Amino acid sequence: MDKLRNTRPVTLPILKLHLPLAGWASLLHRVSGVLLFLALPVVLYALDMSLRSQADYEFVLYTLAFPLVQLAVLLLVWALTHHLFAGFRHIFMDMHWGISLHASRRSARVVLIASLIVTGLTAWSLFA
Amino acid sequence: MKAATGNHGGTSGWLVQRYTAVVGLLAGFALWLFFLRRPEMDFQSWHGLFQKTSVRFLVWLLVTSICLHAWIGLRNVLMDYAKPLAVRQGLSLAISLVLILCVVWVTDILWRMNG
Repeated sequence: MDKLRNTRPVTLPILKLHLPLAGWASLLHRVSGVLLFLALPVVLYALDMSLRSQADYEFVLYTLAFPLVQLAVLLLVWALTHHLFAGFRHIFMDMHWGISLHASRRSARVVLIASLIVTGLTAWSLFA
Repeated sequence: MKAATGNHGGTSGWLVQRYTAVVGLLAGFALWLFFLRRPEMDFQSWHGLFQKTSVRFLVWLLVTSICLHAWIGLRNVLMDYAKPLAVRQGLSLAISLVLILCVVWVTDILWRMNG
């Protein structure tokens, strides 16, 4: 039984491989998804507080104004946009649209850059 | 022979993943339009917005579809990276509980204020 198990394929050692662009888009799709899951209870907590009373609402706004919190918000903006764009890419590929190697590389680059642009614009509006 | 887990090799999860992505996107987009119309926000208008049945329904739909989406997505991640069965099952249980609590929580947030 053990011998049989040892010959089975293992999960790829992702840290030892040079990922192609499509691999980065895919890996970051997962990373951003996990980040968004972790953020969900925090966001719900903020929503809960913001609807309780005037004072609680102002406390949420006060907290959101801290630079460190704004950096976290920025990270979530990146996670959301990357997850969204990479998700679009997935659904288009489900419909057999853009599945050639060339198209896949190009769309991966678009996804990676587009989410960084949106994050950059958000950073600009937050900090400038 | 049928697999013990059912006769669909993950197809239903695959479908739920896509449905919830689209539903969540549409609900999120509709909410975004609601919030765009109110650039000047204070507590009164923020609170007032969540009195609307349409906004409550859309927020509930958004959070619930996110939770279902996350449930499938995290299960996929766990299947790839959490190899020891006990670790995988433990994390899976914890994640399921968190996601169920999130749906209950948002329902409470939205409907605890009457009128």
